[in-house]
Amino acid sequence: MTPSDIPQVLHRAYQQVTQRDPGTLDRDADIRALGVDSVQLLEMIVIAETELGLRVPDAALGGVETVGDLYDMLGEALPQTQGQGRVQAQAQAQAQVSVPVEARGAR
Amino acid sequence: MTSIALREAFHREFMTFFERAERTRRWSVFDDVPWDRLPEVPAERELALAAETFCGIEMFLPDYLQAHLSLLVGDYGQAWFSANWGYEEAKHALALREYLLRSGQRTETQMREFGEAVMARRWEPPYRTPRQMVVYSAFQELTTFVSYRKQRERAQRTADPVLTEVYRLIGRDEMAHCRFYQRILSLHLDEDRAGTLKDLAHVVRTFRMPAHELLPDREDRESVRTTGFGNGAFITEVVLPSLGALGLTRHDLYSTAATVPAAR
Repeated sequence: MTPSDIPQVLHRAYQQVTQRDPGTLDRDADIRALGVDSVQLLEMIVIAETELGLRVPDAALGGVETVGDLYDMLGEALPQTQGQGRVQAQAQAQAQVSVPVEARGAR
Repeated sequence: MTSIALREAFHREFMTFFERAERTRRWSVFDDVPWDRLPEVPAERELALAAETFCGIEMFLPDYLQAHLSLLVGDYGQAWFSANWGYEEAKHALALREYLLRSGQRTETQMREFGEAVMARRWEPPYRTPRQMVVYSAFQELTTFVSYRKQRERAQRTADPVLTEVYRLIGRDEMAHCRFYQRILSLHLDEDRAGTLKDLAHVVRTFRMPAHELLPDREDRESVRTTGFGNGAFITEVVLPSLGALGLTRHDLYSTAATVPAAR
C-alpha cells in the first residue's frame, strides 16, 4: 500500500461503515457533514489502518475534522519507505477524488 | 445467568470497591460541601442551568436502579454494588439540588415543578442483557465523569467555589463506579472474550447518554450539558481510554470476533 491508495481505501471504508456511496470525497469536506459520527469515523479509521497495514497513534484521532485531515493522518502514518508520505498523499488527494464505479465496494 | 465462579469474582470486586469507598471516599452533602462560601457564588445562568440539567439526569435514579436490579437476580456482588451505587448517586442529585436552592438560583417551587416534570417521564434501559448493561455503565460512568470534570473546570473559571467542590466530589464517585464496571468487564473478557467483544462493539455503536432527551427544555439543556464535549470526545476521552484500561485496542473492537451483531 502507498499514499496513493488512501483515497480509495477511505472510499471503501465509508461505504462499509455507512452502507452509503459517498460519491466524491472532497478534501475540504467536513466529516460530520458527510453523515459520519465519531464512532463511525473510528471504525473507518480501523478499516483503513488494516487495509493500509499501518497504525495511527490514538492521540492523532481527536484532530480529524475533514476528509483532508484523514488523508494527512493516514499518510503520515505510512512508513516513509512506502512512498513520499504526506506530500504524496496530499498531492493525490489535492483535487476532488472520485472513485470509478467499478472500483467501489471492492474488497 | 452467569457462572458461579464469575459471580464469586464479582462479589470479591464489590468487596474491594466497597472497602475502598468506606475508607477513602465517603462524603456528606451537609458537611463536606463548603456551604459557608455561598456568598461568593456568582449568578451565572448557564452554570445553574447545567447544574439543574445534571440534577435532572440524576433524578432518574429509581428507573436506573430498577433496570439494573431486575437484571441482577442471583448476582449478589453486582446487586449489592447497585444498592451502594444508588446511595452514592442519590447524593449527587441532592447536592446539586441543595446548591441550586441554597445559592438562590432556584426556588423551592421551581425545583418542585422541575422534579415533577422529570418524574413524569420514564427512562427505559437501552440494553437487555446484564453484560451489555455493564458495558453501557462503564462508558456511561466515564462519560459522566468527563462531563463533570468539564463542568468543574467551568465552575472554577467562574470562581464558584461551592459548585467546583460539588462537581469534584461527584466526579470522584463517577470514576470509582467506572473502575468497578471496568473490573467486571475484565472478568467477562476472561470468561468469554469473543462474546464480550461483541457486546463492546455493539454498545459503542449504539451508545446514547441516559435520560437527557427526557428533560424539559431539551435544546437549551443540551448545549450547556455538552459544553467542552466536542466532536470526537466520546472516542478520545471515553472509548479509547476504556479500551486501554481493559488491555484492548480499537482493533480488538472491530476484530472478526466482535463483528457479528450482538443480541439485544
